[in-house]
Amino acid sequence: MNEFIDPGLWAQLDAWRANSRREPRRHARERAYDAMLDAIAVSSRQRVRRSVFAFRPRFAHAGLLAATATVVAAASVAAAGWNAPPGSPLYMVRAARQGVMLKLPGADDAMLHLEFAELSLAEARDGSNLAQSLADARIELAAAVTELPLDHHAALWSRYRLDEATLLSEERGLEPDDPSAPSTAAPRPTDDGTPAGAGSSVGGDDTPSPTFSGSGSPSPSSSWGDDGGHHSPSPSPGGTPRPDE
Amino acid sequence: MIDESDSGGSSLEETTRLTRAVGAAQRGEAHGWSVLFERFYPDVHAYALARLGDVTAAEDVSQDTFVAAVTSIKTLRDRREPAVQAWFFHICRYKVIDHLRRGSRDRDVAGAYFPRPAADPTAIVETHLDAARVRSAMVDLTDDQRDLLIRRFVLDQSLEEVASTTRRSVGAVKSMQHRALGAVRRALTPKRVA
Repeated sequence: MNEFIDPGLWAQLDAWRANSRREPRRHARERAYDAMLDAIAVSSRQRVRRSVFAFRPRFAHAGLLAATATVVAAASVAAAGWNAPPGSPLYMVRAARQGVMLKLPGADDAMLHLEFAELSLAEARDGSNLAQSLADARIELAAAVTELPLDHHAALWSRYRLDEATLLSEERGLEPDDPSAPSTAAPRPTDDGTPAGAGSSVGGDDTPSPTFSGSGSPSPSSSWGDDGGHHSPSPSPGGTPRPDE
Repeated sequence: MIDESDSGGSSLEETTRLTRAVGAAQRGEAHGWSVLFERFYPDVHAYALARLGDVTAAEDVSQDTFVAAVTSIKTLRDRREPAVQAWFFHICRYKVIDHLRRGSRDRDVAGAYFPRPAADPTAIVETHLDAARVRSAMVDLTDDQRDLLIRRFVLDQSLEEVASTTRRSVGAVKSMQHRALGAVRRALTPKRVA
């Protein structure tokens, strides 16, 4: 395996080997060992420092991811529940949103309550959770009454009466056709002669009852405005609104 | 009579001990470094002295090698002895180059080689001079050739060991050794005056 090396060169290589493989001096060996231990100590401190600093970016990274995921999830829930219909799991988001809108400074509470009531009425017409929608509309209208202006001829009052009439109409359609069904108020005749339900099965006796035209569309009665709508005007037999003034 | 089973078991135990020592050193544990130091410091010192011929310089380079090894041991993947030894030599080789580049370094008188008292001082001086001549003859070699000659003729490594640790074929190592020895021989041969 080894190539031939002439004796003269071999002797010089052997001298080189012997000269190089001398035993290291003791003090130099100890000095090197101590230097190595110092380097280990420094390296350990740096390792701890690096691990501390390395932990923070990892933590921050995870925190950033978690925060982003939370924001995205919250935005998704808010978007999905913005106009969630009653009965939906996200309806609470919509209720919270409406509550926030009412709490905002400068908000027109009467207007907002009426808008919320009209939205509920629209949902009731669309058939999404009819009873809950009507109940919501009733609550919003009851809240709107307390916020309406003192001037009963104001436009908001007209709007309120129209919404109230719509609500009653919807509630009447919700009642069962069975005449033996219990009723909390005397039946009122309608334009088709069938007994109608109570003026308000949801809102109680204090809510005004509208009169109806022959086509069945509700129309507000101007007589409610004088006493704040605490009367229950009797419906007109002919199906036309009864002018009180 | 040599008990081969004992010898094999001892070798295996030594290999396991070294592997564990490397693992401990990579975790920054001093006892692992102690094992590595005891095992490889003489070789590293011999490698540096073979290149430099200056005891003090070889000691400095050996120390620098182990200090540098502390910070770079994470890069060591193969924990087997030849690989670990080659890794130390690799660091030492570059420390030698760094030392030679700092050519302006003052030679300390204390670093000069003072041979131990021996029966024949003349023989010691001649050995020292022969070694110095070989080192001088290696000046024109490439760094790889010098590394090869040290491994082969100072550290007594076989061609296969050198081939495995330098990632060359045995044939390539043999060829390189042939060229390196030829260059050394030519450099050592006195030139004829015309």
